Amino acid sequence: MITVRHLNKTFHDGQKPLTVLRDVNCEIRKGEVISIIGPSGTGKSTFLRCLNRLEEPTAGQIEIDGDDILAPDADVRRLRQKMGMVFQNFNLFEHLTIIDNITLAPRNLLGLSKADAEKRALELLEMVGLGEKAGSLPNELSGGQKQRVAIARCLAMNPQIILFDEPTSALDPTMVSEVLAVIRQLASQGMTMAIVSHEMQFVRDVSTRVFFMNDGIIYEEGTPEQIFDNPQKNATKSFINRIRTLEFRLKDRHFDLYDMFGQVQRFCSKYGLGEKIFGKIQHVIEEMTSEIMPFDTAVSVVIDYSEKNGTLTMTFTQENYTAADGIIAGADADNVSLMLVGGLCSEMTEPVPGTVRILFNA
Amino acid sequence: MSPKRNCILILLLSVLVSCSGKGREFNPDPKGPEDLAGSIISCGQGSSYQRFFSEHYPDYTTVDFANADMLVAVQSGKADFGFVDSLELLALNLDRYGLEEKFTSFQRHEYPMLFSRKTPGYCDIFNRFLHEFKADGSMDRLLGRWMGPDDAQRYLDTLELPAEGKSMVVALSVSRYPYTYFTENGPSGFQIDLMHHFSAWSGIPVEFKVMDTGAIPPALMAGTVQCTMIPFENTEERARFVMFSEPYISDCGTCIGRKSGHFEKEPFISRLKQSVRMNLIEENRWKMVLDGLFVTIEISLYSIIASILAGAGICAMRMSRRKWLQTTAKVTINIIRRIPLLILLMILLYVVFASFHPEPMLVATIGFAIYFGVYFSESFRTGIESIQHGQWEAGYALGFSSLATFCKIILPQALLRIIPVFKGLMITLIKSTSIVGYIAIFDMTKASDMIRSRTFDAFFPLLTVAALYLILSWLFGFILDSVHKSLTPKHRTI
Repeated sequence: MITVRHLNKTFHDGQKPLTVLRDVNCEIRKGEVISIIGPSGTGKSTFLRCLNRLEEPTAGQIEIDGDDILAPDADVRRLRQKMGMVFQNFNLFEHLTIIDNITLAPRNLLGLSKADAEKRALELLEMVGLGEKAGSLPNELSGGQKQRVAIARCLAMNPQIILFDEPTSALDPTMVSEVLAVIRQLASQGMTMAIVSHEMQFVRDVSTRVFFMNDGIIYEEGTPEQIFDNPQKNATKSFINRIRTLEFRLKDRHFDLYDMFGQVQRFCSKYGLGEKIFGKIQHVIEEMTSEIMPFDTAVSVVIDYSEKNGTLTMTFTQENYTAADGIIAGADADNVSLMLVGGLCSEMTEPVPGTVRILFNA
Repeated sequence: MSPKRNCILILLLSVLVSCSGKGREFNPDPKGPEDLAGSIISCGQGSSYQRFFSEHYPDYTTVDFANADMLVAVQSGKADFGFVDSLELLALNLDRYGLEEKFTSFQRHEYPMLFSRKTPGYCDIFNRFLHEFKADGSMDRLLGRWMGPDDAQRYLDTLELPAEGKSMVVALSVSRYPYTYFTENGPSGFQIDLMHHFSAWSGIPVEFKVMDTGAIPPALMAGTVQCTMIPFENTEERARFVMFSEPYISDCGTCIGRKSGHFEKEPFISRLKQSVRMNLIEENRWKMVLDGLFVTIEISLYSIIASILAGAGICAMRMSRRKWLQTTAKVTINIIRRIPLLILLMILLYVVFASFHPEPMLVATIGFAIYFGVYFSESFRTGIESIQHGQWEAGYALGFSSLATFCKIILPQALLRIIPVFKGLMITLIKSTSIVGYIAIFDMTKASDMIRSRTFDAFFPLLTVAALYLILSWLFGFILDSVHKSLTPKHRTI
């Protein structure tokens, strides 16, 4: 249904050009529910908005049912009538009642009579559970209700696909489920949809395919099972496991230890890691940097915390490590520091000589 | 005006008098200009009296009140003596103000007609006419009739006036009874009669046009009027720009001052009654006010409509994606906002459109459209920009064109925010139309000026007109409020 090739979008309105989409390639087939996930600022919304040309792509091709929609003579308005869009901020027309919000486009663009349009609008409102709100004004509705009206407004145009641009991001947590329920219902009716969302459980349940976007491209794609249970690439993994990272590069033994502790403390309090684990980390850093790591050249320290699994990994890497036997294996059996560290953590390994990995269960 | 307000005003004026009068000593009953030392003398700006004093008595203090304002100034003590042409005394009710003549036969001076240098032929024809008219005694007969004590003798001669041909436009200003004054049937007076005789004699149709005194010299220079009868004296400086005919009348000055002894004012109610009779009922003067009111309404309506159109145009330019249109609009807005409205109107009439001799109404409408269009456009822009961009996107995403999105989605919402600001601007516009008298439009303010200059009542016509402006702005405001209310979204029952 939709084929996207080498899509590029670069914004030029700032001081320097900002490339948001580098090279997006994908295919969306009829009846699919595509979810687009990824860290913020990676172009998910921009990609969606390029599909109905709310943003003009800088380069690339988008074909819908074989028609090139980026051609100069493409009928953009006709295209948009066939593609509904639901916005993060609902964008209901504040000056119109709910039912007029829904009938405005069908009456003006599809030529429906007032009676027909209102009949259909009431059906749709019933479907999203808001039949009794037909005569109300948008500002009398809650966020969740507004978003359901926005979905009904899209459906009134009988679109072939609906684009959801973070439909629940602006909602109070208590209202998220009512909107997701409506989208789930549409999915079960076989509506083709593309959804940008941060609701991982929902994405996993409702999608037929998941696009993981990172750095302006579709970095990894697959079924929800593939993406959530068995991600192949590092960025995907750290996103799925919600891995938070803190990195240091220590040039020699005389680095500023207390500054490092300060940063670690901020990291811990930000992600809700208690005093106890912070104390352990401090100990490990002290022992590793003073006794264990050889410091032939610089040493890098990476702290990864997976919010999803609740595990914390500290990786100490000696740069340009040349000895063949490894740091742990090469140490004395009665090395006090190593014993101390081993006692603090739940697992200590050296997968590659020169790289020590220490695991905690937070 | 309420008695209380009146009291406050009198109190203020008396404070002013007591402040300015401190240590001022002068002869309360002067017999000639030499007795005026130490007093404050009021004579119209540029008048022969003013020139006389600055030449011969440079130490004297002169102020610039004229007509009705002068009487009030002398009455209230802002000035001690005033000078009027002796013939004008016919129209003055000095008693009413507690004033009296002090001395007369002062400064005899002659008044010529002024002609535009663009059409010098008229001046020659008029001089020939004047020569004949004086020679056969007609002039003396006419003067005797108009300037005598008998009111019944003051009427326009019935003459057969030419109807065809290009007419000569004669500018009139405020009333100077019995030279020129305004009745429900139009202008009347000695000068009007004289022009009728000239017209009948020469076969040139004459058309009278009422303008502000200050606007007449530029109008003569631009050639939008060909001639004026307001009494400007012949000076070398003026003769460089306009042509003077032979003088057709001479007059002398009279000095007026406060009556000696205590002046008892009439009670307020009877003064009010007298004011109403004098300013509105006599000679059906209310009709002048009413005509003026209709002109004010007419010009307000035209200007509002034109300003909205101009405002929409400038706003569209200002919000255009094309850089040069944006810049043009910005520059226009910044220039127009820095020019006083009156100056803009006069520039349009006497400079920009001078050679087209346009209808003043048209010029006023264009002027207001430019001036207020700029303000309207900025209020439109703020209104439109206050609508979230998401509303545009929602319209686009449904498949509406830019224009349809604007008309059906953005504008109805923007209007709700524009109207309150617009209301204030519109009221300002309505009030600003009071300056169109300057460019020869007989509006409500001009009508009140006319009545003031005829009845020498300083307050009542002003207050009447102020009240009418109040009602008018309230009315227009009410209409806008109803529009606002009808646009405000309402519930529906389905």
